[in-house]
Amino acid sequence: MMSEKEDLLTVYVASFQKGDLSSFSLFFEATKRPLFYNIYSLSKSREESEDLLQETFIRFLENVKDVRLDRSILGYLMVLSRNLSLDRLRKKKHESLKEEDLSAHGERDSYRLDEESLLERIKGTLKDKEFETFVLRAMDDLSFKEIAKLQRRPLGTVLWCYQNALKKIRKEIPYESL
Amino acid sequence: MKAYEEKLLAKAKEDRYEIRSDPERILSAYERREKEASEKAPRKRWVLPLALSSSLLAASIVVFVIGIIHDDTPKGIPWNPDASKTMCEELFSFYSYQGGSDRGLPLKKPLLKEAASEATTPFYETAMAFEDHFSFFLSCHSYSSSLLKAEHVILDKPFVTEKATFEYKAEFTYGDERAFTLYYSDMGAFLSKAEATFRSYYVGGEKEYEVTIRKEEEREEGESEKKIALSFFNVRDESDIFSIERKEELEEDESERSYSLMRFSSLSAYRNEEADLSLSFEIEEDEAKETSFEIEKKEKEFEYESILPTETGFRFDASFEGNEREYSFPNVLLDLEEDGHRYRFGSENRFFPNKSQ
Repeated sequence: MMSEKEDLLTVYVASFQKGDLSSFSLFFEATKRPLFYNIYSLSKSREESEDLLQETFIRFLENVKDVRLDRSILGYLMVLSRNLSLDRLRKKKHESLKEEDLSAHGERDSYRLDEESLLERIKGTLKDKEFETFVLRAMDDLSFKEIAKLQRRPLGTVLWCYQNALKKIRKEIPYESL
Repeated sequence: MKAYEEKLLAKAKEDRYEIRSDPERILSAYERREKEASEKAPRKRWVLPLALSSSLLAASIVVFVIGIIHDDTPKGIPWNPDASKTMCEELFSFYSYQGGSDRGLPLKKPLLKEAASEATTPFYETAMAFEDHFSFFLSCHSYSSSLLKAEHVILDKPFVTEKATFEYKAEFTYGDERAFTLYYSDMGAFLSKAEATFRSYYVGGEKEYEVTIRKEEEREEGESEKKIALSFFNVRDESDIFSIERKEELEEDESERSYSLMRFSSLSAYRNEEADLSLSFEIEEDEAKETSFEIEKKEKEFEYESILPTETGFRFDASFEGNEREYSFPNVLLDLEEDGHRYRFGSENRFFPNKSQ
C-alpha cells in the first residue's frame, strides 16, 4: 500500500518540479492526515496543527525543486513538518517561559474548548513519540514496518513504544469507558 | 489486550478530526510568497540611494534599522545583513555567555550558594555544569535570528581607540531588549573575500572588548566549510579573554554546525590555546537533528549527547569524566519550571532555582 502511494506521490512531485501544480489538491489529500497527526503529536492544539500543516506544504512547494524523487516523499514531508513543529515549540518556549502559562489568561483553554475528544485524552496520557506512533497506527493504518521506516527507528523500538502506549491508555481509559 | 486494542482503534477512528486546511488556500499563500520574494530584489536597489542621499544631505546621524536576516541591505552603509549574519549570531552567543540580562531567554543564575551545600554526587556535578552554561547552550540550540536586530548609525565623529578608528555604530536588540553595541569601520574587504580579518569594538553592559573577527571559507566538489572566529579582549582586564568559533560543514545532503567558546586567563594562555574553560556545541542538520554539548573545565569533562526537546524542557544522555573516574547518565530529563530548572536521573532529582529566587 505504502509503495503504491509513494509511487503516486513521486508522480505528483515530478509534475510540481516542472511547474505544474494542477495535481496539488490530490497530493494534499493523500498526505494531509499522517502529516497532521505527526504535527499534532508535538503541537499544543489542533488550531496550531492546522497552521503548521499549511506551513509545511508551503515550505515543501518552495523547496520542491530540491526534493529527491528516489527517496520517500512522505518521509521528507514528515521530517519537514516535525522540524517546523519543533522550531515553533522552541520559539514558544522562549515566549511562554517569560510570559507564564497562557492558560492563566484563558488562551490555551480556548484552543481546547472546541474538542475534548478521545484523541485529546490519549494525547494527554502519552509522550510525544508514543502518541505519534499511536496515531500513525490508529488513524493512518500504517504497518509497524512502515512506521519504523517513517520514524527511522528500529522496528522493535516502534513495537515496544506502541505496546507501552496501549498500556498507558488502558490504565487511563479502561475498556468499559471506551 | 487484543480486544481492548481493537475497540480503542475503532473508537479512535470514529473520533476522526476533520482537517480544515484547504489546498487552494495553501496554493494561494505559496504563490503570494513567491511573488513577494521576486519583488524584493528590485526594491533593494532604490532603497540604497535614498538612504545614502538622506545621509549626505542631512550631514548628520542617519539611522537604519536592519533585521539581521530578513532585511533589505542599504549598501551605502558598510554592512550586509546576509553576509554578516553569522558574525552577528556569534556576537550574540558571546553576549549570551556573558549572561545577557532580561531578554526573554529563560536565563538562570548559575547556581545558588545554598544549593552547593547539597550532597555532591557525580550527577549533581554534571547537572550543575550544564546549568552553569545553560544560557550559552540555549543561544546555540534555540537562537531565533529574526529577533536579533541592529540599528546602525553613521557617527558624527569617529570613535577612536588606541588601535583603531571606527566610523559606524550598531545597537543590537534581541526582541524588545537592548543587547550590545558594536563599533566598526568599513567591512567591504571582510565581506567580499573568502578569507579576511575585521576589527571592531564591543560594548556589553559595563564591559568593553576589542574584537578581532576572522573568517575562512573553503569549497571543494560537493563540500564546503565556513568558519568564523571571534576573539574578545577586555580593554580593562587582561585576564578576560574569550574566543568564539563557529564552523559549518556541508557535504552532499549532510550538514553540521559546531560552536565553541573558550575562556583564557592571560594573553600567553590565549596564544598557547590553554583555555581554562571550553564549551562546544554541535548540531547535525539531518532529520534527527542530533545535538551534543561538551564542557571542559579544570580537568573535568562533561558531555551531553542526543539532546532533544521535550514538552517540558530537554532530555539527553550525559557523561562525566573527572577525579580519575567516568560516569554515565542515560536519559536525563531537564524540566524548565516556572521557578527554575529541575534535572532528573533515576532517583536523583536536582533543582536549581531562578536568579530572582
